[in-house]
Amino acid sequence: MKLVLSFRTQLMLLNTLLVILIYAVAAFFIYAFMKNRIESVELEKLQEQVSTVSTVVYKSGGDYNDWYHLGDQKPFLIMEDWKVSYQTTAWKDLNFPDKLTPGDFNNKSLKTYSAEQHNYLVKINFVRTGIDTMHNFQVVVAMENTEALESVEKLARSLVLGIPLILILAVAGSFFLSNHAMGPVKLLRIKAQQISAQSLSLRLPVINARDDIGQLTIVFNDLLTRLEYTFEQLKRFTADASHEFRTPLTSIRSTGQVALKNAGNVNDFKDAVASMLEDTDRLANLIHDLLQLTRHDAGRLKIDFSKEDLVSHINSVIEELKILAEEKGITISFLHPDTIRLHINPAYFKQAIRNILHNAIKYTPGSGLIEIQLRQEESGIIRIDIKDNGPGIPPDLREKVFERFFRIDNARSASVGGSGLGLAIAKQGIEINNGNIKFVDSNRGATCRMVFPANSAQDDSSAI
Amino acid sequence: MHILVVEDEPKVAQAIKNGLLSEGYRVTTVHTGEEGFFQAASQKVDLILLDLMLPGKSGIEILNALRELGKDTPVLILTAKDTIEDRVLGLDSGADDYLVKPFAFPELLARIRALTRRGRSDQVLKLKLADLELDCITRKVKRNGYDIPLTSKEYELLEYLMRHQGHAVSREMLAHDVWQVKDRATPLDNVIDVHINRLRSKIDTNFDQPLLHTIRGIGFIMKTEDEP
Repeated sequence: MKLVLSFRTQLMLLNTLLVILIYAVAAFFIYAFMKNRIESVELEKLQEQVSTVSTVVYKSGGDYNDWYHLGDQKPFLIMEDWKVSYQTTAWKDLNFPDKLTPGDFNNKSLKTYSAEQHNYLVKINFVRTGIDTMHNFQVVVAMENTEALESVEKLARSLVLGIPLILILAVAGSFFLSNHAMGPVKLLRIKAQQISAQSLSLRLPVINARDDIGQLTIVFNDLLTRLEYTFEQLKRFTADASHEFRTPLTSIRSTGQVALKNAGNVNDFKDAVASMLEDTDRLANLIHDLLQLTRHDAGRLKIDFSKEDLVSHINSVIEELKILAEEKGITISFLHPDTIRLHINPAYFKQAIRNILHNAIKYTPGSGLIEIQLRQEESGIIRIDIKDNGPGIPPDLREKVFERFFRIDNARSASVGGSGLGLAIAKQGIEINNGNIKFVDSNRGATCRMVFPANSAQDDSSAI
Repeated sequence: MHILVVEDEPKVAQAIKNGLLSEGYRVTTVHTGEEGFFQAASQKVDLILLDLMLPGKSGIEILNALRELGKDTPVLILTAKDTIEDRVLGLDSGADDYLVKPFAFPELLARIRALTRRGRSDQVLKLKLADLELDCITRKVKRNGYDIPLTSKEYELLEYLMRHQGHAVSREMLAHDVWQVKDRATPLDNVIDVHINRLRSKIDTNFDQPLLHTIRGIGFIMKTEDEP
């Protein structure tokens, strides 16, 4: 079984562990330092006593009588050639092993000794002295260091005793800390739970815009804004689409019902059926257009690109639609250099141009003029302008006309026809080819401008 | 000519059957893949109209099974799926042609004619209807002995209509076959209508008998008036 801990608990445990670790390291250093200090102070004291005794022994030149000045209180022992020549009462009280041999000190001058819960440091010093004959004295001084040892022990004990205390403090502190840190997260969670498709306008509270959680909240809010926009678009799209579907359906249904009810002659029936077929054509077109748009939305489409001459493609579209312009007495002019080559998908490109030009023809009054201009600027940017002299598009609607089903004038749309998707498809076609499309200011009529970046013109790979 | 229709939607199957019967074909309709396979394998069928999405065995499975049996009956796939991948899959499996729903009936008939005609020579050099004559090599058009000058697009349009004379031609067929636009596009419908009007004014206006007819809701047809 795998133990799953909440983020808060993990944070808390980690924090506690860290505090304990820091404490352990600190305690170890404090202990080591204090022990060392105490021991060196003790050693200094002992050394002093050894020096005092040694000085007296040295100055006496071996004369025992002078040694009595040293008194009887301090435990020390003086030997000559490892044979006891003088010892104090205090030394006797220690019950130190009777005979000391050079092996007892084992080449070290210091030794510890314990008896009846007392601890001693014992130090030996060698003194050579004498006026006539040379004497070799061994001065051995003992000093009780029970207290010092006890204080070191006490220190260790209190440091160890500190562990549970620190543990409690660390847990409490970490708990508080993680609570404090995760508090906003909990708040965000509760707020975020309240946001649903119906309340996409809600936003999360930004408590501190500068901390990490604040940043995250801001990013999340931005995401919500985009979602809300997309959702709105989708809602409007669904409403528009069902309207577009309903219109021909209503027409089919009522035509059929009326024809059945009136039961006229064969020609009346034929008329009714023909009218219904026209409406099914409209429906079929609508579905086709919608599918084309959404298929690319889903991003599942593989699109092939090749280096193509824009002039010839635009010319072929003009050739195709020229007849519609002629019918209305509209003149189409096309200004272009000999050739401009660009990496495009010809089908999408032509469809975009076709839809824009068809739109221009639709909205240009009789005997009007449509000017198409294709040019490559010095920076390499390729620009196509399609300019008509129709009524134009108000600036605030220039973005919207590319939205699906958008129509400037709903009443007009029936007479002009089309699915209301032409410009949306054109925009998609241009964007697939790395370009962008918009309506720009012009002195008269509407000017649709398509711009393709320079790099895509030079780029020989077929990247999308 | 015996046509097997494998289509699970009864209304669509019935409509196709009626339409084909009125064109003089013998028609068997079945509603499942298994039945379709059984019929196709056990009796002589000249053409199979095959829906791809069927209950039980899918159209592709049936097609594969038939081809494995060594049956090379022409198969025309009818489907609502129209991504390029679907088309490729269908044609790779041995289908002879592909028609996306909702299709126009005249187009279905034209495809059937093309598939069943396969193998026979299609090299018609002169097309004739009443007193209208087309020379497919010189691309000259004459009516009642008079030369009729046509633009190249008008000629192509007329030749296509004449090749289908007596049969209706839909706007989609014209867009696809005459304008070579693979994707159906609304602007083209208007373009086709204008071309038809101009063509009609050139070949029909000054003559007694109209030959180019518009069938509302369906498309266009070249025929003499006394034909049904």
